[in-house]
Amino acid sequence: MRSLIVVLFLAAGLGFLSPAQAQDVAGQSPVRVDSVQAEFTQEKHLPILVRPIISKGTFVFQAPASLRWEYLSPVHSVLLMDDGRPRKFIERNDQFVEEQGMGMDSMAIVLQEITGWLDGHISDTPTFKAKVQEGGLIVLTPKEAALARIISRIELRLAGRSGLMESVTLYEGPDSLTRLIFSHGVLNEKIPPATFMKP
Amino acid sequence: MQRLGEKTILRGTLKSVLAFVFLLLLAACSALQPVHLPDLTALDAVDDSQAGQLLQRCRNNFVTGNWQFVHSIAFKRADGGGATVIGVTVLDGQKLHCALMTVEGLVLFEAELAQEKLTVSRALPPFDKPEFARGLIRDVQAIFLPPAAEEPKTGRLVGGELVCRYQADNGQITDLLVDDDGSRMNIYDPDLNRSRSIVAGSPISVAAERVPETLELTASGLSAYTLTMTLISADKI
Repeated sequence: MRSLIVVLFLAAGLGFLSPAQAQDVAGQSPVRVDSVQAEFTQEKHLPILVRPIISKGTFVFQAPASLRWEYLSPVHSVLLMDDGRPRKFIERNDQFVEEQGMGMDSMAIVLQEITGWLDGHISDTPTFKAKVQEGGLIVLTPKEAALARIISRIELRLAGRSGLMESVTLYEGPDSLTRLIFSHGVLNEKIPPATFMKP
Repeated sequence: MQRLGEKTILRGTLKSVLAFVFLLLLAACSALQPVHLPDLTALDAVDDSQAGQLLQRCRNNFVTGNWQFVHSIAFKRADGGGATVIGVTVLDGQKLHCALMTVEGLVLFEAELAQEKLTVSRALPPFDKPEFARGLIRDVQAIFLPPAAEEPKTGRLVGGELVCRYQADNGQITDLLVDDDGSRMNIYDPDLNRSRSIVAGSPISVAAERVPETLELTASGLSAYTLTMTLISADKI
């Protein structure tokens, strides 16, 4: 379960990488990110699906450790982390209900990974081995076999030099993948603290 | 004197606690009280056309051909715990394929049932127990496939509701009640106690077939739970 939660949060955290940080993998200087906001469209591809499942939502991050990861459709859910304490809410009958369990306590561990990336230390992660390829592509492969059984690799594609990541693709198997495509990214704008406290 | 007073208070408190415990036990027992198979009065010869229409409505309650459904599924245990996942179900006549994933897209469970052989290709905790796979497939079969039984009997329950009653070789009995707003299926184990009920609501037409937008499965017994399913997409494939 810990591996599962690690994957979920890695996917979330990867969306916050700025090109400047990604360039750090290639040996250039990183730029400190204080906050990031972005919209995303998520495509879920599975061999059994005739068409991908499309989800839409928003990411908001505030350094050092506050996160709001919200899916607006098809299921309205909000994952909040403030001061390292993760909570997940699902909307049912026009009200948000907090969901317990599913290893929520383990999520705090992953926060270190995300904040490490935000400091520009992608290559230093204890969980993944990073490799820079042509065309602004970074490939992360799990170091631990337990995690590799759940996720085979993650591909990060940079959106030029001035925005967030263009996309993050998380491969679970040869034909099973989740792709997050980011848009409307905003860096280092002030975010109200309440954003991270309630759904 | 003071000691006597304490004893009286203690006795009174004890009585209240015992009464409370008794009420709790009573409530728990009534919740666990099995629901038995209701009596069925068969439709007689005068009702032949009505029986034919009823049989057709019962058949139409299940899609035919190859389909793919995507639902959001809220799983709730009797103790209040639970989680919300996205479920994919593919029916292709010969095989039944299902997958569960988190809202974030990570596949937690994937399995296929073909010729009564269940193959689990992925099962992450807490969905990695063999009994979970068997239970899930049983629920998926109950929701999407017609009961494995001969032609059902048609009749009326005590309250007057028209019902199709399917009896499987293993003794399991399924009562199906269909109306314009949806359907209700009650499944009874061979001891004739209700083990599952499935309420399908808000039917929509997809590829000229009737597909419910909402489904609620309630499993009875000691490990009671509820699955509340909301349709995200339905495709005839």
